[in-house]
Amino acid sequence: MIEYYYIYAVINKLDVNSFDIGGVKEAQLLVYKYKDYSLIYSLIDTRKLETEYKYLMQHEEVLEMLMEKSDVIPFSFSTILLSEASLEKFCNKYNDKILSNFENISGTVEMGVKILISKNISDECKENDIEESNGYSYMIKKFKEFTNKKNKIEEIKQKIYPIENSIYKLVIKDKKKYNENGKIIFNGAYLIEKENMDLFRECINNLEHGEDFEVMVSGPWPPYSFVSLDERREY
Amino acid sequence: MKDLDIKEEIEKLQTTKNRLEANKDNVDKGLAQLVLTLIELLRRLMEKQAMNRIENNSLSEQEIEELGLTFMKLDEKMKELMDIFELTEDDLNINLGPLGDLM
Repeated sequence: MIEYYYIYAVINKLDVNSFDIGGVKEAQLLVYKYKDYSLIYSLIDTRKLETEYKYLMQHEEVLEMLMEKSDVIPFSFSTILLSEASLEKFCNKYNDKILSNFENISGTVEMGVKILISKNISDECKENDIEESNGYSYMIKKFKEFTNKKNKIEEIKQKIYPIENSIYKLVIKDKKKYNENGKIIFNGAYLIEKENMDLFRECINNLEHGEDFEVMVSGPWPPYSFVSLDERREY
Repeated sequence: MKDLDIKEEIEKLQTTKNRLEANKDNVDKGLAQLVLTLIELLRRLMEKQAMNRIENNSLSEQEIEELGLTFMKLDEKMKELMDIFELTEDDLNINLGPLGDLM
């Protein structure tokens, strides 16, 4: 049977040999040591793992366990290499990037903040549609949608302002995405010190929210949004 | 504050068709999806530009009428082609990996 190398993460520790939990498909967690860090992997029997809740949770559990005792550069779900030689090749190729990523994320975790509104913005903007009989009225209808949407985005920013204002002292880096089409109007990822996790939640908990939107906080996550081995993406 | 429901998010992810679906059995549909996605992107860009021009009062009523007719026809044609290839609006918003969704 062919075995493939399922990769979970690179951690900044060498003194790890065994783990209390298994990985995806209950496979044993193994360690590939390279210079100053270790690559955590399992041997599995498939080249591509389906996106199933069970497997995703197993992947996440491994990362959570690793995060407790080390800095973690997480790998996406279903990152699979073909051989042990590929592990070495990978470490050789990305050694400098791995080290610089560890510098950037040392002692940190990622927290997520999503803001959801009760009604889809684009639906709301289309509510008062008028029948288009000709080109002019078609464009005026579109223009009304356009201006409604613009006003909504301004409203979103007003909603987000107190949240960001309350956490800005804790945030080392952030990545934000505003969404004018849909219920999730804001999606933010925040890199913070591990020790500030509770304070981060507390800051958001203490805010008064309007009835028309909901704030969802997630994490701590490994810093997915703030690590990259891609030369073009620097964080 | 509410914690994120991961299971719900994963289920959504599993049902989202956000990649181009091209294989030997449906190459026509895959190509149509790609072409229509590009047209939709251009249509949205042109429409946004037109909205900005209306906002700045830089279009006459006649120009707005002509632009409106063009967009209406384009809209109709797009719907027609989407019906033929059994595509939905969501199919035209492909995922560009690290760059996020196209639209």
